[in-house]
Amino acid sequence: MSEHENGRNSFKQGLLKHFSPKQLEKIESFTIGIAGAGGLGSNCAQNLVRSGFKNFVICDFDLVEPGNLNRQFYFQDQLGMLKVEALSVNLRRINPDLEITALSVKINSGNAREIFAGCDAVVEAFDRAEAKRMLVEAFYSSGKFLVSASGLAGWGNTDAIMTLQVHDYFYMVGDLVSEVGANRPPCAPRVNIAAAKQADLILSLALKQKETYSEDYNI
Amino acid sequence: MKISFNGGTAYIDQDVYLPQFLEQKRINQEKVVIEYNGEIAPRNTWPEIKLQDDDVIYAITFVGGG
Repeated sequence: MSEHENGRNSFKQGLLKHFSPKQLEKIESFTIGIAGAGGLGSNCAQNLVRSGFKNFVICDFDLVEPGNLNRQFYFQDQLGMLKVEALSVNLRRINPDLEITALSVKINSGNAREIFAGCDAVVEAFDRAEAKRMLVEAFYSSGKFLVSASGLAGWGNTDAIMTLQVHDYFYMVGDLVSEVGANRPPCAPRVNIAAAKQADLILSLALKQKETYSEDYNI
Repeated sequence: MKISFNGGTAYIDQDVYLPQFLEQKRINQEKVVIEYNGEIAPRNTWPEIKLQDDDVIYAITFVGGG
């Protein structure tokens, strides 16, 4: 019988070696929306779960395909599964006590705000530039914390993947120019760096008072 | 006429509307969010926005990949 089946969550015990109970309480009180469960979304979610976040709304309508496995948090035996289902399984292997609302829905400008209405922060983790634009437009003036990513294709020059504060509640991660194309594929290192930076912004927000948050990023 | 564009200064003619200005700047309008004088400008309002002296515009352009 596993420790979890015994009623103990050893992952949480481990977290408490790194966070105070008060810090963990703050983290656990947050609900995160993940818009897209591809390279950015699946890896950002993994980082957030390992950081102690428990409440998620994850939205994506794609299936796991072989071309995803170079950078996304899925495995060969999950090919053909809905990404939101496979991701829920993988995240619960890290922490069995997650509350995940997994939605196999295409997000558009008409439903975006409703889907993530209960979230404190939203991660824009889409692939297509037009979809990124749509989500940012939907949440830009919403007062909700929004972290987008743009410019992470290819390899090399990873220090160019920066964090740009656009306003108090909107941050962009990426080099802003490296677009996926024939000679510039999406690869694990740069995609993971961007996803990890997105997760770190949310972790920083959860552990701070919102009004002092922007002092860290005077850009 | 002088406006602020993406943190720099841009000089434009009178009677220029936002979509026209973006075209002049060769900005792909499908991939950009426009902050106009501190507020997001919904794209359905762009054709009505006639640029004025001292306007402040930020164009946040997205590239694909994720």
